[in-house]
Amino acid sequence: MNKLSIPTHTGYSSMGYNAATMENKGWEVQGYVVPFKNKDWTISASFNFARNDNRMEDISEYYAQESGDWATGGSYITMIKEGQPLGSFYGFMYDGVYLNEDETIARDANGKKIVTYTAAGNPQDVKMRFNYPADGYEFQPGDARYKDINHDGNIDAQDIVYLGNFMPVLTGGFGVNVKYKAWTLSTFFNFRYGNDVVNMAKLNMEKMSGFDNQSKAVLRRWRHPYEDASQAPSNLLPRAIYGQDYNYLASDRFVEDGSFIRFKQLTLKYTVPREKLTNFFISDASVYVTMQNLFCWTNYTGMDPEVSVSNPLNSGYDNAASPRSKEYWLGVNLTF
Amino acid sequence: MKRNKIIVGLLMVVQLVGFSSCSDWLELYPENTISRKDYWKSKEDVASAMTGIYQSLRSCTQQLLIWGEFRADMLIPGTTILVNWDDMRRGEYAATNSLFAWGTLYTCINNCNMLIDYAPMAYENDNSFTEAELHEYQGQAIAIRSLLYFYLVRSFRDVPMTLNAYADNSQYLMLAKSTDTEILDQLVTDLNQVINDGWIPANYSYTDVAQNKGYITRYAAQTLLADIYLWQEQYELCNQVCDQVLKSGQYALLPIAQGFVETLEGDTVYYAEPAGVSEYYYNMYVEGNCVESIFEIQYDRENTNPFFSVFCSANCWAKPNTEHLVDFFTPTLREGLERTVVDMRENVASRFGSVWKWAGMSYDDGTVRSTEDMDNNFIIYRLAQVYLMKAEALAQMGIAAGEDAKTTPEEQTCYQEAYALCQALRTRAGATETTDLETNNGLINGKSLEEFILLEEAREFLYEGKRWYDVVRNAKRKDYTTNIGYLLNTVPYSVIADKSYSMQTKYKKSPYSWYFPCPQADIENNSLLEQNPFYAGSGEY
Repeated sequence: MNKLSIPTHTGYSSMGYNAATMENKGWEVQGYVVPFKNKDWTISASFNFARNDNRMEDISEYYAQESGDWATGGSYITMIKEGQPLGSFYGFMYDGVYLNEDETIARDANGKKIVTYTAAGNPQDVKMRFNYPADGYEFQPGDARYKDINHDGNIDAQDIVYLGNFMPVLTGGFGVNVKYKAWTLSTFFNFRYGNDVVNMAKLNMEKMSGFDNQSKAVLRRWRHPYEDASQAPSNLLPRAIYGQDYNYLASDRFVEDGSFIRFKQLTLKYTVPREKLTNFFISDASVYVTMQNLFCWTNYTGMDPEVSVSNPLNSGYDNAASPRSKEYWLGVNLTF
Repeated sequence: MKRNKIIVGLLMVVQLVGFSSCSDWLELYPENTISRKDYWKSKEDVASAMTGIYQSLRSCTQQLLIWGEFRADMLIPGTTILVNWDDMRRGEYAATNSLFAWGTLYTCINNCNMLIDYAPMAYENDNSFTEAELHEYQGQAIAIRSLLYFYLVRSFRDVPMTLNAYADNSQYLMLAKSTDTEILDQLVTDLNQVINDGWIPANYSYTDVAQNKGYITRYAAQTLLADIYLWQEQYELCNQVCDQVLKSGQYALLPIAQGFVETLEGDTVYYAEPAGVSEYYYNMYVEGNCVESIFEIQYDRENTNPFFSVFCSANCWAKPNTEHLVDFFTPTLREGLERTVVDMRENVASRFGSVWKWAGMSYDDGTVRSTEDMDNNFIIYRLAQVYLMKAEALAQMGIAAGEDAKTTPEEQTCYQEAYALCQALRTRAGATETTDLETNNGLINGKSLEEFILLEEAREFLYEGKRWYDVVRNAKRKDYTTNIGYLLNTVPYSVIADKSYSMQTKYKKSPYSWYFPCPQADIENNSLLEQNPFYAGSGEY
């Protein structure tokens, strides 16, 4: 049950309605093994791996099957199709920066310049444009360059491609426990594999279109034309333009692999032997130290790749929520 | 044991009482809302639904004024940059721009449709509810619905049109667009029906003038019909309907006290007195509902209008484009004349650096309205517009007649009549001679007259939400091409300098670019709604 947006010509903007049925299919494997055990030592390991396929069935036709406005900065297109898996985003392919005037000239599939003819009949170069004719902005040197997929010299809806999916291929966790006499050392790791994250934090910190604070990366922005492309730094960012969003359109520039393995928990516990407790009216006692979120192995450049995927219709955006903190616990358990 | 039995007995009694107290527990109607069957019972219910329609009409005025002015050339950004307008001024019309949201209009339209559909239920039920009263309410709802669809057509061209109410979720909600021609034909049919069958009365009260200006009267419906005919280029019909309003005797141009008689080269010259202008300003734009007014959306101190942030706030969105106003009100006079009032229409609209028609409370005092003072009405129609609509229709009738060379006298008759109507307004305002129509020994050229009337419309209705529609109506005449100059000439003043050329190119490329894109949310939620082809990115326009 959802509050559905409905067409406003009805006089209303939303109504309560069942949006769709979601079907979850997948498998999950859990295991627990004790590879070694003797009087003093117990070594055990546990794991669970899961794979989930999310599909929408019976989508209400009032549910917007496509959302996002590609012509607006940072707005990724998402789609819901009956029987199709969820969670894909679509946008432009980022292809670096227009280094100089010559690069902004529109070229066809063979690299030949696209020309128009003046009134006198002379050929004249045309510039790459954005969303012509509704917008028609001419790209300038220093602007972000998006791949012109259909080679028509115009960056528009027809240049939008699949960029990624926020649903992981595999998720799960595993841990090893080692017990020696009264001491127990347990570890737990969790992971996600094969999911993509839109790094909105990076987008907002590098968009250079307003007065918001920006990251240090903007020091690498384009400031002057590079006539010789080989002299341009490889990690150049587009130029800053106030109030315009052409340089941070939804593109693969901000879509990153969100796979990670996190060292979630390490616990060292000492259980006081019962025979030592008989005089203290205590039946059980233990002391432990727990450390959480110790380390995360990932190629993701943002703060935390473990973004919420709770809403299957609109997730996978890293808006730089507070990252998981490292936590240290010292605990005493007493049972009387 | 005995005690236990008593307790069981007591429990049974309690249970019986408990059950009987909710005898209607099988009732299926929702408890927290009033269902349709329960609501439409008496004429009072219909009356309060009618009040609801006018209330929802009040919520539309911000869009109506913005659509009529923000694309045109008479305003410049105020002290704060309204990003959505700034995008428009750069020639960027994104479907996500909330200035193009049409939801408030459709909410009011749906309220009208509900009344039209369900008021007959109350009529069946309430014996004191006469058929004439039923028609009076239905007629008003039809006229208001027509007014809002006319705004939608002029702003978006093709839009979804529904003449039936949406009341529950069993109805199919997807709806494709109807073309502008289909919609306007429907509105003409509807309005002619309510006018000719006498559904809407000529007035509502013999004592309270606000009721006769605030409720839509037969003459207001006729003025709307004339406006639609003019848009449809049905000039003879427009002229006829204008005549019906002019001859009604209900309205007169609000006079301005004339004084200071001078004699110049044998002509006696009268012109407006400053005190007269002050009074005119007060009666027309502060007090409202004056003798000239035909239909106004009413506001008071409890229901204030939405224009504080647009024109009045210290961070207002819009200010008069004073540099451009000079082109309309050249302040030069015939030599030897000395006036204190020179075309008062500039001063009542643009004064003290603000859009004074909305921001002021007095012509003489420069205090800007505060949030609680925003009680000025939104004038939808006043008699001056009937004058100029008739003039425009006559000018076009003359041009049509002039195309047949034999009928030149008839052509000139039309032109002279049209010119006289403009003169009535110019004389009242004390317009300067430099802005007058140039004639060739008294013979009028049709094309010059057409341009002159558009200039008069600009001067007369400055900041009343008419300018963009006046420009488009003149520019689209015949084929969207012949007169496109009227539109292109406004571009340097409505779009920032380095985008003017590209905006003109867009206007020339496709007439669909003259209209707004449909709101993005509706494109997403209404699978049958196709975006305006100019903005669809499909290359077909």
